[in-house]
Amino acid sequence: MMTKRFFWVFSLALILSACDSNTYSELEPIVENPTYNANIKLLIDSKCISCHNSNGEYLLTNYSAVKDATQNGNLLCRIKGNCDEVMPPSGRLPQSKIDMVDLWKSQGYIEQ
Amino acid sequence: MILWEKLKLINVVSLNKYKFLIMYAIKIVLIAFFLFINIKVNAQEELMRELDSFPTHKEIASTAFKGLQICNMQSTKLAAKGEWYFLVSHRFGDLKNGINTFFGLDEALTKIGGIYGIADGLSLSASRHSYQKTFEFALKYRLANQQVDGFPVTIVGYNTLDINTDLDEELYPGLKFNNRLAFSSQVLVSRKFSTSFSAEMAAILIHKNLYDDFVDQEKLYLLGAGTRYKVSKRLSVNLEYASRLNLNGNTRSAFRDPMSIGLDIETGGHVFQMVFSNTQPMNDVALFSNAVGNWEKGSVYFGFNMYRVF
Repeated sequence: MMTKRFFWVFSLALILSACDSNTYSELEPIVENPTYNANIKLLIDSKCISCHNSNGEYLLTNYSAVKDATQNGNLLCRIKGNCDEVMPPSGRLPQSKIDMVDLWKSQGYIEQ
Repeated sequence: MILWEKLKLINVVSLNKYKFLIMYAIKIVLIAFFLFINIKVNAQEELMRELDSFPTHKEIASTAFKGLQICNMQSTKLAAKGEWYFLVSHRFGDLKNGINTFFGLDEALTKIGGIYGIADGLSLSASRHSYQKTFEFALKYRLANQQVDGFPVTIVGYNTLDINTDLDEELYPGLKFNNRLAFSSQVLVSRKFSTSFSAEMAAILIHKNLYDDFVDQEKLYLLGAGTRYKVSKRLSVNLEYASRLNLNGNTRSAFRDPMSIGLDIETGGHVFQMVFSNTQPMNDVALFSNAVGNWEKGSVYFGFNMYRVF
């Protein structure tokens, strides 16, 4: 029984020592000129659209809706977690994604 | 005659062809035989040893905790050999949001899973969490038992492996399978001080194969503590807290030390635990390292764990 336990502990220690880590920003190329069609839409479709669609509040289904939410609404504030609860509810977006939306805003909401 | 010759030839050919297989079968039979003998001898030795040591044998103290969890943290209790547990847990959204989300009902997280006791002191579990669509596999093993007038504490090891299936390859082109994994390793030490009061200390290591270096970190060490106080026959109050030890100075950690208060309610075949916590996710990796609630500001999540034994 004892040897069995040591075997488990040892193999788990081995698994633990065998894992190398990445940061989110290492998994994606840095986007210098983000556009709605190439970058922002992908993010919104993956993280927001499941709730913010025609059945829910605060539509994020197209370019003008997302632009409006960023320009006049509190989209940036919510994803940064600076006002109210952080969005999306599944957990704060990686900083690289938040920076990308920030950049998209400062470059004037380029569509494509 | 010719036929006989032919038959012999076939036999030789097929014998050669299957020689490898036959050898293999013999090996297996031999191994099985020796294994059987070994087990028998072991069992006999163990029996003799038990008989010999009977007068000095210490009685094992009853379990320090009634549930497999204190609130969110694991307790030192394990599923007994051959026992099946079915578990369902929920954590509702932030209570602070009030009636707008019906005190978090609209934003609930769910965990559903099973635990099986492989041996006495060794159990395996698998669960699915709605948080980040995570699959969690865990191994729990007892290393020492608290004894009446003997060894003072129960020591249990607990390891979890998380697979995050929510990550989108389109969003992260460099994503490898390895990046989906996260681990927790825990050593739990508990002592039952009296029939109504038990306490536990835990050393915890969290490792993430993918993390956000702006707010989070790769490795996190925690020191946790939990207690249980039995109020009545069917009711106990539990409290737990874990302190994060190696917060990196330059990471603007967006998270807090997890703290939970719970209530064990024993009913017929299952333990029902009510939990108030500042952490909503229920997988060990996230609950220890990604607590976003804040007790001081009333940002707390309510939920329950329900265990059913078979």
